[in-house]
Amino acid sequence: MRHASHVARSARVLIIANAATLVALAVASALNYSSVVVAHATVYIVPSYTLELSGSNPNGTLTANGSVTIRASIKVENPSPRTVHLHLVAYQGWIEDLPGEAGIVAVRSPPDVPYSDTTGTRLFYPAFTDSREVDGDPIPPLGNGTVVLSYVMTASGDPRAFDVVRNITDYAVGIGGSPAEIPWNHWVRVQIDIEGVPEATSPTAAAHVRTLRRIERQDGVYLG
Amino acid sequence: MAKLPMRKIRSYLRASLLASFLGLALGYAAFYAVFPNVSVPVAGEPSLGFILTILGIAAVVAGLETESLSHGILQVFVALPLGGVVTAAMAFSPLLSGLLQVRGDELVFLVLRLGLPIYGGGTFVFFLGTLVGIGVRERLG
Repeated sequence: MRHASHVARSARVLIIANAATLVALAVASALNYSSVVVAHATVYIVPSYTLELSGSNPNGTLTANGSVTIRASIKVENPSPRTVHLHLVAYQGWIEDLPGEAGIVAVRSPPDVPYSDTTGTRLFYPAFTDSREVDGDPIPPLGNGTVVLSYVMTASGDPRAFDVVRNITDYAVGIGGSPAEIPWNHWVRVQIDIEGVPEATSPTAAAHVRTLRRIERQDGVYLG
Repeated sequence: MAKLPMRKIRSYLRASLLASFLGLALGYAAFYAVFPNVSVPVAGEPSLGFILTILGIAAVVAGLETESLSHGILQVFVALPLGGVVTAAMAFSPLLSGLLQVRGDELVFLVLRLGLPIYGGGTFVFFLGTLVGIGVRERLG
């Protein structure tokens, strides 16, 4: 009888301990999951771009040996309770094809992309595209981090695009403007990893398990 | 005469508590299976061994306290919907922070659908574990 009551007491202790462990695991899992969802919902990017023309003539036109440097500064704001880090950046730039709009140049290769807004339809030339993996510093909870990426366009690197950009800047100077005033359209897409969320290694892993780790953000108008 | 219903109430109350305990184990295991990389412990892929351990231990421990086989069967069946409620509650936990990026019905459907193998397999493990628990108690008691 005493033995039976001892077994019953031990069973109760086991149940209470087991239930407490399960509650702790369930609550910790729910909190962990919530923080990941919060990161997905709140992390955002603030990109800014600068353009630098080097090797230009006194009148501002680009020389054949010059270069156009596009600097994309991508600031990641992290209001979430998770540490994140920038993983991949893809960015693309289009320059407004002023001579194309004026009808001076009929065909570009690759072709101009028409873009319509409230001011009318304008033509943009796809000047460059780049994507790269970034090994930036971790961005702590409630913090931010900035990654600066540079793309240098030269005649030797991309002769076709460089010639078109040069032609457009020449035209801008020719009509009394400056290369710095030529409108550009930038688009950026980033992948931000949430730390502490392991990557699903199996190819059969469910899609939602793979996407939980990664936050995707984009900014700007993608013209195609 | 008056003692019998009270005893019955107690025994059903105990069965309900044990069913809740099993439901908790089942709900947590299903959530872990659906979201292994945001659960605690975190893992890239759900571990079948861990899931079976969680469910097996819960079932055997519950079996030690189970009054009879019929109560054990009742507990397992009651644990199934309770497990679904626990999984759904965990999936809805981001609501506490005011954020839920997907529609609630889609989320419930996702966790319950993807958790189905766990509910199915869990029922089997619970039956087996409860039997083992009852057997151990009979032998030791």
